[in-house]
Formats: sequence, structure tokens, C-alpha cells
Amino acid sequence: MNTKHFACVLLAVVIFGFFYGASTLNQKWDSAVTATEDAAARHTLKKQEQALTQGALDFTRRETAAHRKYLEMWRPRFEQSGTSEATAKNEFSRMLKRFPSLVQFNNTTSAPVENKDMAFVNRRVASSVKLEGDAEKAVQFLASIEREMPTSRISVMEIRKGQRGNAVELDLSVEVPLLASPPPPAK
Amino acid sequence: MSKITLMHDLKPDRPDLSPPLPAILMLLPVLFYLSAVGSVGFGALCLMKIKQAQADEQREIDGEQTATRMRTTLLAEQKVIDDTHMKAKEVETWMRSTKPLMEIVAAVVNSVKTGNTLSSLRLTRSAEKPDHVDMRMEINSGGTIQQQETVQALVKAGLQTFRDDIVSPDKNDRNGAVTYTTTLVKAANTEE
Repeated sequence: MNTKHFACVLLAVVIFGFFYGASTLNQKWDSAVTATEDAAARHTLKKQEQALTQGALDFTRRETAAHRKYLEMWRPRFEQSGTSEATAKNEFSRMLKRFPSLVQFNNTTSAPVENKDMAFVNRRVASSVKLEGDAEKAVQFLASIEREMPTSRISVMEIRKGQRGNAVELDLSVEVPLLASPPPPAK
Repeated sequence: MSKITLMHDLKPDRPDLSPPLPAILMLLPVLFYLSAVGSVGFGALCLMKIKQAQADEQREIDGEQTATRMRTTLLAEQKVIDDTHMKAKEVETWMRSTKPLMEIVAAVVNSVKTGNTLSSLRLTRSAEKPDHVDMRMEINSGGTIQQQETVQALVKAGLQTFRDDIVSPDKNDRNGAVTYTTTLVKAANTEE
């Protein structure tokens, strides 16, 4: 190989270098375009997911509006009973005190019982009382419980003829719902 | 001395030491210049496009992150609504079980005819079947006639009776003491 051949080879190598460099840049361009297309595809997918989630949310919002309004209507009444046995007991005692002419026997309150399949209204306490007094007052008392403690449930009620003329004996068991305690605040 | 002679003195003619290259290799320099210009131009174009593609990619990534963030917010809101809905259904279930018993008491008491007496009225309902109210009524006097009056009054109040049972110490006395037990449900056509 003489110097002329060597110069030609050198020139050819330089030309190849140019092509190689251009090819490498072209590959980088392709990679960048592919990466952009992938990112665009992911973006589109996320946008579709967002649109689906938005649709589902709108649907849920529409479908549950009546129920949620119903909850907002009753929530204060349930919160009145509170989350503890003592609050529920006090509410029932307060009602009893409004009818002093009815003589009380055996006023007891049970320990909270779990409500099956319920996580919010998850417990209830039953207050039982035996009363004796005027029939009219006893009926008024019953009506007051159902009117002023609308979330309570009279589970057992028995009216019997009393000892005197218009007197009756009333056995009553009233269940008051308790709400689940709110979770402790995160530290 | 002429100039040519002087040049010849300084740089005498040299005979070619190697044979000339083939004519085709004259293309090499041309190819070199073309490739140099081409690669510089193509490289500049590539760099510009790469920068643009990277900017586009970043924009898409930002958009993706925004969409993800918004979806997370929507999912959180969905969870709140689902929780509220679950609570609402529980409240509704509970409230369905607290239907007043006063209408039953009123219907029974008002159905008692003059001269007839009740010795006791017992109403019970369970958490499992809150729509069913078990009623036990002891009629002191008035017997089955009074029992039928009471049933009619209950039907008028929008209640249906089933699983009826009548216990009477004296079957022949239609006006004697009777213990009537039944289960009451709200009639379908009177549901709110």
C-alpha cells in the first residue's frame, strides 16, 4: 500500500465516520420520537381513565343524590344519640322525666349490641322500663317517644290493664342507635 | 538565469514513484465534501428534532401526571361519595325498622267496642325482621267478634295480618276471653 492508497482509505474512514455519526443521530431522533409517542399514548390512556372515572363519579353522584340527601336529613338526629351508651340513656331518661305521673319500675339499659352488617350505625342500646299510670299519659308517652326520638325503635311494648280504674301497666323496650366512633385523628 | 531554470534548480522534476490511482477513486474527495456538508446539515436537523421531541415528550409526561393527579382526586371524591352512600343506606335500613307502632296501638284501641275489654296488648319486633310486628292481644270480653273488629281496623290502617292464631278457653262462647296472636306487615299498596 502506498501513500495514495493510505490517503484514500483514510478519506473513506472519515466519510464512514460522517455516515456513522449521522446514523447515530438518526437513531437518537427515532428513539426520541418513539419515546414521545409512548408518552403520548400513556397520556391518552390516563386521560381516558380520567374521563371514565369522571363519568363514573358523575353517575354515582347522580344516582346517590337522593340517598345522600336522606342521610343529611337524618344525620343530626342520629348524632343526637351520639356514639356512647350514656348519651342514649340520658336521652331516654330525659323523656321519662317529662311524664312524672308515670311511676317507673326497673329502668335498665343494656350494654351496646352490634348491628349486623352495619359499619356506620354499628351498635344499639336497649333501654327497658316498666311503667304504671294513667292510660292516657302512657299513650302520650309512647307517642312522644316515636315523635321526638324518631331514630329509636320500640322493640317490645306491652300494655296491660292496671290495678286501678283507668290505670295501665306499660312494659317498654326502646332501642337507640349508636354511631361508630370517628377514627382518632392522625398524629 | 531565467526563473524556470531557478525553480528547476530548487525543485527538480521527480518521477512518480507509484502508479496512479484508478479514476473511480476521484469520487472520494467529492464524496467527502458531500458527506461533510450532508452530515453537518443532517446532524443539525436531527438535534433540532430531538430537542423538539424531548420537549413534546416532557409535555406529554406533564399531561399524564396531571391526568393521574386529577384521577386520584376524582377517586378520592368517589370514595367519599361511596362511604356517604353506604352510611345513607344503613340509616335508611335502620329508619325502615323504626316505623311507629302508635298507629297499631291506635287502631287496636279504637276498635274496642263499648262493653268489650282488653286485658293486654303486646307488640314486638326484631332487628332481623323489623317489617314484621308480632302482636299478642288478650281480649277479656268480646271474644272472636271483638277480634274480627280489631282485624278489620288493622286492615283499614293499611296492615295485613298473617300467621293468625286464636286461643279461646271456651270455643262455644263467642263473647268470652280470647288470646289472639298474629304478625302484622304493612300492606304493599300503602307503602310510602
